[in-house]
Amino acid sequence: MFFQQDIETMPREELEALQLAKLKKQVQYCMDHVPFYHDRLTAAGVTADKIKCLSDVQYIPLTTKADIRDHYPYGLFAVPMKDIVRIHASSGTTGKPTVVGYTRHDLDVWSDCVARLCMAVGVTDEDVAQISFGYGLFTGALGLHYGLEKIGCSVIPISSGNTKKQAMILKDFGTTVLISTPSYAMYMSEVAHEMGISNEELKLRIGLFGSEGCTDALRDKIEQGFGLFSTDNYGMSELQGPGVSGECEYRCGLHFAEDHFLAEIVNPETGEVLPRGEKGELVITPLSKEGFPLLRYRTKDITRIHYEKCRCGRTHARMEKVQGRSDDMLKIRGVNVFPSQIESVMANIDGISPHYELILTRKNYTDYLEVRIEINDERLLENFGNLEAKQKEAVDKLKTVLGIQAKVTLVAPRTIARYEGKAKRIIDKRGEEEA
Amino acid sequence: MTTQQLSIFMENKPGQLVQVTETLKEANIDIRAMSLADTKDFGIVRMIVSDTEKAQAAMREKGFMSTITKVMCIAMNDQPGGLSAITRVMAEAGVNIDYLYACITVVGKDAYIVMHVDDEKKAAAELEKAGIRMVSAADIAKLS
Repeated sequence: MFFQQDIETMPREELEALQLAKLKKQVQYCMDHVPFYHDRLTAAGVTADKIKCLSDVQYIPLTTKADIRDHYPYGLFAVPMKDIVRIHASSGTTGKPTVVGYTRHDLDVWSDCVARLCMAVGVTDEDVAQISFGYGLFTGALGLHYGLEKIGCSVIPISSGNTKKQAMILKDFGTTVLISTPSYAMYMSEVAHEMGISNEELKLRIGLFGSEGCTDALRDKIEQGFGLFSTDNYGMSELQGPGVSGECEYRCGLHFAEDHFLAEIVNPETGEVLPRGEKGELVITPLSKEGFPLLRYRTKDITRIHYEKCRCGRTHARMEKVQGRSDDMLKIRGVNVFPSQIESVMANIDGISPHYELILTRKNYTDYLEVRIEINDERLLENFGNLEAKQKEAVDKLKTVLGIQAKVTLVAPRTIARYEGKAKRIIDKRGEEEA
Repeated sequence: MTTQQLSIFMENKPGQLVQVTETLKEANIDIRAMSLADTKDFGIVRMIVSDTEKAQAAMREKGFMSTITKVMCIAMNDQPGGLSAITRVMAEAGVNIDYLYACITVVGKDAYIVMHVDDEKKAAAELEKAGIRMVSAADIAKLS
């Protein structure tokens, strides 16, 4: 299903012509309204007139998160505050949050983008959508909220937390679409089943999971747990929030809203543009933003873009599911490890829950990785050998996938923390003992 | 003839066992036999208790994972060579003993042992032939 079929299926030539026109306009807009960009573009000798084709975007300097922080809070806004109707901010795990502002038109574009990805998986105005993302400065909840309302869904703005109540509402309100992080959806299904709620009593059919990475293996477990079909969507507050890209029902990559975002892949080390089809860091230029425009924003997410037309009929390019943010990547004994790799190993071992915890320590200048996993199959207790075999299976599989030896600790069910928002699965104690 | 054993998963850290025993105390469950193996990271407590299902429900409530397994309970003469008589029967029958532990109570001249084997039917038949008495769940229930 489409929300804006003419745009979503626009021939690529037309789409790219549209992007070029909007890019030129956006460069001029930044030049005129954001002193930071005026200086940057002038120093680089870039003007809107000099952009003749889409690949000329490479001459525009890249923007980083540090640039946004340096102009905290409103320094990069392009309109006076009277035109800003909404402010959001990133979680700000390190230092000050990054603040973003939206005009009324920005909110309209944003909800269009979200409505597209919701309809792409089959959400209609008949659906009852439970938004279990935390409302607040975080863009996830309100982003989905406005998009779903635009489609005409009945939106339940329950926010995150109070999981038993969530489960009760899932059942009593006849929720058909669940919006949450994948890890919270997993937890919610555990709680619902513990409360004696069976999938047959639920009307759930679609899950729109986002805000944290999710491997296919974990997705499969959530889908089995709840008996639904789910898609992944992508976005970040700096760019707008959710809706930058999203999967269609074929789940073969996340379609960008290319009329609103220009995507490139660059070498994460050098910042140079990579040829189409190569894997690298995703760089995005929002093409329609008024309140908080950005040019060539470095997402730090590693992915690859496919430009062929999709079976769903959409012509908009697709990005591969993000394996991990370059920020999330761990270096363990010199080996690059993404937590998502560990997640996919764990989700493929029977008898353990998909919840896990990584503990990194350093002794004598050597890194140690401990992975704590919960057993959830009572039959393992019949024989000590079963437990030892499970432990060894995890160690061996991790070794195969990561190339490093990890210590695997089996822990009792429900002892690893559950999260109502983004899961925090990594405890990095390296450096603590040296400090 | 088998009896029910409750096996509980425990992480190897201080305070775990007291939680198990306190939980049983609160549920008014009597422990007839118990075994706890030590490993570095985790352990399994195995028990024969006065009410296995009630004990499991209480453990679940506290978040412990447990399972109920069938084991054999055997009466042996509490004198030198008593256990040897049983293990010899098993060895000659080619039955492997996975684990074995003793009941806390002694009944007259008998001590009860709990045993898990790889071939329960064969073990039972051979023990019977050798005149060794197996103890029923009802017998264990009578213990106090």
